[in-house]
Amino acid sequence: MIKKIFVLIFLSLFSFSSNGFAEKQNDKNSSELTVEADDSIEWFEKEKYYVAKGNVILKKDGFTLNANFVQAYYEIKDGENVLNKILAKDNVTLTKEKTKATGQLMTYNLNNKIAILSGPFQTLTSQSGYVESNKIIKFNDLKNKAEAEGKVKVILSNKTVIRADKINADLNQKDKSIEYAIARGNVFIENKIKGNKSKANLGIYNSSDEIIKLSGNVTLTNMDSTISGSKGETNLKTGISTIVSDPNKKQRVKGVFSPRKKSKNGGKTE
Amino acid sequence: MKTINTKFIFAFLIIILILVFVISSFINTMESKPAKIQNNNIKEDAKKIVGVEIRQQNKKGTKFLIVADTLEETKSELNKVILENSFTTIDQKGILTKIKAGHAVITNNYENFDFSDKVLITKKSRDFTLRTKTLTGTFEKGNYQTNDKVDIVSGNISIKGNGLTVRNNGEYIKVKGKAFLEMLLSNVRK
Repeated sequence: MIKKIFVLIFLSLFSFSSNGFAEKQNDKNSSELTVEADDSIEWFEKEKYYVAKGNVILKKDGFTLNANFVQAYYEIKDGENVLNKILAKDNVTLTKEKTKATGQLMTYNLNNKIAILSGPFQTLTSQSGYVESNKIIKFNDLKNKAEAEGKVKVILSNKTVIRADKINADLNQKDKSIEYAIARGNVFIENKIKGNKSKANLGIYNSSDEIIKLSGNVTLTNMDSTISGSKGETNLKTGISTIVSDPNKKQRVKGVFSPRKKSKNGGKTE
Repeated sequence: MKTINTKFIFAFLIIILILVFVISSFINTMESKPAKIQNNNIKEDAKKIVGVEIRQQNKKGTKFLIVADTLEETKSELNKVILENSFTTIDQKGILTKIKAGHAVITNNYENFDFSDKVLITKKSRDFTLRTKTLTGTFEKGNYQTNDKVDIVSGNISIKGNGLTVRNNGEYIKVKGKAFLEMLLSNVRK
């Protein structure tokens, strides 16, 4: 009789303990995080983190993270294990809708929603363009800011290529397209369709007029003609670049123009 | 005087009846309790014992309570005990881990175990349950493993996989692949 009571108590304890998860499964308002791993999932209870190894796929709120190694730190809030930081290594890919980020090392803080991709090469592809760097790409999902450092290359949807040592961008809240950006150090803008190239120390882009304002040792190259000055502008819509005089510096605009020779059949030569 | 004596006798009889009833029920309860067996008291020639309760305590102070339907000790191996429908409770400074198994083989002076037939581990402090087919390990270190499918539920976490390694009664858990973890969060934490 006592044993039967013991069994009943034991079973009731078990059924109670399993209810927490089962209840949440039925709760349509609950959010779900899933992790799949080919090799293993390890749980370090004292240190409060999980490690997933081998072709890991982590999914949460439309995000999908792929990597060969994922370490997820958690804290306990109101009896729930809640992830607060994710570290992913080795062939990292993070996708959400039409945005995709790749790299070798990624950290994602779930509290401030900041993702940092670092390593020898990382990329970020979205509807508004493509970004690559050989040092770091930082993305703040909460404040809609992005930052790339280390031989940054940006390819815009109109095929304009922008290179710089560092680029900071403010993104659109809805589609994450670039609204405002500052490129610093060895700024190089190239429009292959128009054949224009621009160089400067600093470039400031504004999506409202689609003009990049250049400053500091500005050089514009169109075909074989070169113009240099202290300030300039590149219009991404028209592909036309111009040098603007800087009255403060009293720097003169210099230009080298190479006239195009006409070919025998009437066409223009390069 | 006569009336008082009759009342007194009546009251005395009632008390006697109550005492008899209490003693009788107490004796019955004692008889229905499973036999408490200390591991050092098990005789070599013991056969199958029905309803057993074994209590152990290791050097670290961890207490073990094993309750089983039957206990069988093999004559060839002194320290091998076979249990049916066992409930093992491990008490580590008040943190209880309970293991239920249809079949259990305990060896090496109650240090090693080999559980099989619907193994279920529960740890109330962590809202933790683990289900698998078989489980082998040691009570002393709290290490155990299996190569069978495992299903772990702990609070809002569920982990499924094809094999398991546990260290120190669950401080470290490795679920072998292909492994699947599911974490459910309340709406407020989205």
